[in-house]
Amino acid sequence: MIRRPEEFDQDLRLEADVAVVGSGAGGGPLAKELSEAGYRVVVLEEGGHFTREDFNFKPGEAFLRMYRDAGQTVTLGLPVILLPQGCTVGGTTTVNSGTCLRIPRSVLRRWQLEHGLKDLTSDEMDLLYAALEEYLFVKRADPEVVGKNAIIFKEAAERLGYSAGFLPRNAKDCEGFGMCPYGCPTNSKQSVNVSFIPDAVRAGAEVITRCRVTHIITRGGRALGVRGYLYDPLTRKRTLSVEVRSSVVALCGGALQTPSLLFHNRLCLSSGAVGRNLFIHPCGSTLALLDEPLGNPKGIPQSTYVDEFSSEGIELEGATLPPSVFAITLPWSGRKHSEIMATYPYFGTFGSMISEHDSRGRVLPGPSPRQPLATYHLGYQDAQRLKLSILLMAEIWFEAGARKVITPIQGFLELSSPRDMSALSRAKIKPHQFIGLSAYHPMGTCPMGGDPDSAVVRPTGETWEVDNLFICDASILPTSLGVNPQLTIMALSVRTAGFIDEKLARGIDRAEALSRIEKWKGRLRREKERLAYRLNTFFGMEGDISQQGETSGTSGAGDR
Amino acid sequence: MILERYVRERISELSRLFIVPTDDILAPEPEQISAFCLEFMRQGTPGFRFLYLFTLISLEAACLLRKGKRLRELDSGEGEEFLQSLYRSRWAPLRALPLLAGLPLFFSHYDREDVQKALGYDVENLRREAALREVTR
Repeated sequence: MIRRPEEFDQDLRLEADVAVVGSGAGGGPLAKELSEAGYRVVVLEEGGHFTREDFNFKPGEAFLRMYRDAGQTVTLGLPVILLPQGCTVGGTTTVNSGTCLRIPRSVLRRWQLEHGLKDLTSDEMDLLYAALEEYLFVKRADPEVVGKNAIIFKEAAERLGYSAGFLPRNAKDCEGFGMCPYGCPTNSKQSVNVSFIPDAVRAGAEVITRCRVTHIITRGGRALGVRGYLYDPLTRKRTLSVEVRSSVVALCGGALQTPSLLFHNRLCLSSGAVGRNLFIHPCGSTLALLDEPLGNPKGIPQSTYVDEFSSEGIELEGATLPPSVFAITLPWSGRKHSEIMATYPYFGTFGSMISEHDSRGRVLPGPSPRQPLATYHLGYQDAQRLKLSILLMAEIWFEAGARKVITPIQGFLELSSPRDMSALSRAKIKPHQFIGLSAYHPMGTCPMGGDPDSAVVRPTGETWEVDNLFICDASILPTSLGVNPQLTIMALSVRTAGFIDEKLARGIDRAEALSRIEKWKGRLRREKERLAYRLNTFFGMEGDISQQGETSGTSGAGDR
Repeated sequence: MILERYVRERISELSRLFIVPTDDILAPEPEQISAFCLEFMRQGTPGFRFLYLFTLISLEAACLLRKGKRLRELDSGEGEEFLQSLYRSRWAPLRALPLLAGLPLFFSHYDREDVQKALGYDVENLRREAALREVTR
């Protein structure tokens, strides 16, 4: 059952086998797997529950209601980078583009060699990926519905001899309404809110929305549950408190929220790895003025890729923008802005993302668990690779017949012909020259690894320092992935569900043993009482033996 | 309330400078834009609220320093010139002022369905079409 705060009139005290904090790409699959295995699962989600009726083709409203802090999450540093994150049942998957890519072999190899993740084999990952792809209806974007923007760009890239293709997506019968990042209006995109969570609920999981978790209850180095509160979505004020007592706690709040929760609870901090190594995949974009209208944003926003430079960590992925989002990417205002907006139908858009080499980011504790601070400095080499990705896109756009290309690089905002590209290619671009950069894949802030001195999480997903506390989101990815991470997070989540199942199964045996001990103790107590009664009857002694024992024990302690 | 009134006034002035109507671009509705901006600030973090207010005040201050006038006293040509000089600045924080100030303004204006329709993007039609389609698992 998915429950809203309005349904409760008193503080909540719940018991469960597993408390899952967050319901995105990590929490959703975990909740489904464990509830289907018969465990009592309670999912605590900070965002609201939205359905297709709520997805109204208005990006502005979507940002206000479905994005964390109205989409205003930024990294502090040079340049300031917008890092929008979803805050809904389904997490960011409700508002992402649906691209489902497997981990590159080289990245997995590196995890095995450098991070002690030898057990995370490619065979195992392939099995998990295959199962997930079938469950989520993953297939390549349909060329019939991708839209003109994607077709023109892909064909131009292929004419230049670049490797290009259609991206695999978790969409069933998609008709390309172009609204993936603002909520799919037909339920075609198989985001967690329409796939894993409904299945988890059917299997008995309870999802509580608008619930912020602030405390992880621990005792003796063991997680025992979580505490938090419900809030009013309008006033954002706290209403009722929530406590869930559980055998296992799984943190699935994402790479910014999870380390923040650990900081505020002073847990898992001895390795010093919590919050470090924030990777975000910085993204650039280009806008190109063409001779014909492209029909944007109708089509599939992210449907095409060019992976010619993927060995260098550069991926180009299509991204069409509705007018309001297109408008905020333009570095002008007034008449110039209006003139460009008037030609909006003739503008093609495409994006790039890079896998970081020398950029550095970290998450620091903020004023409250829900407001972490993220710092990020784009490295010089990464700035040059971002520039290369923009040059690549510009070249492809000019091949497609663009009359001008707008870039996010100060000093090179408008390229009017391929000749302008040579000045840009010669220039050494400084990180602060980029305007309006964004990023969408925070990860790496609670890395998984085989060494407790450098990792927060064991290869099983359980934290090295707190028993029964698992982390299951993008924060456990030890390095930058280089591709959209949702499928990998889901695969690791399903894998972790197996380890939790194993642990809980052992736990249930222990519980049985404990209950037998309790029964035995009860029998012993009854025997003592019977004996006391007999002594009393036969020798006239007062009180019972257990009381005497306590008295003598106390006096003994006093004597010492 | 005082803060809200201050933001409303500044946003009204900035809407006029940032969004210039043309044949295809409808005129801004300052009330609607202000309401969106206030909601955008309310839903955001205290840090962003502070930053946005700081941006509005800094824009006003920069205008006084560079033009010797307040924002509301600039005509559209002067306003255009002033904002472009900030966009072109080599100093990133100065460049960020119009970018940040314009973000909710453009967002709310171009989210209006009549504005989108004038650009050839018929949202109403798409919404009707989408309502007829529901994909089930």
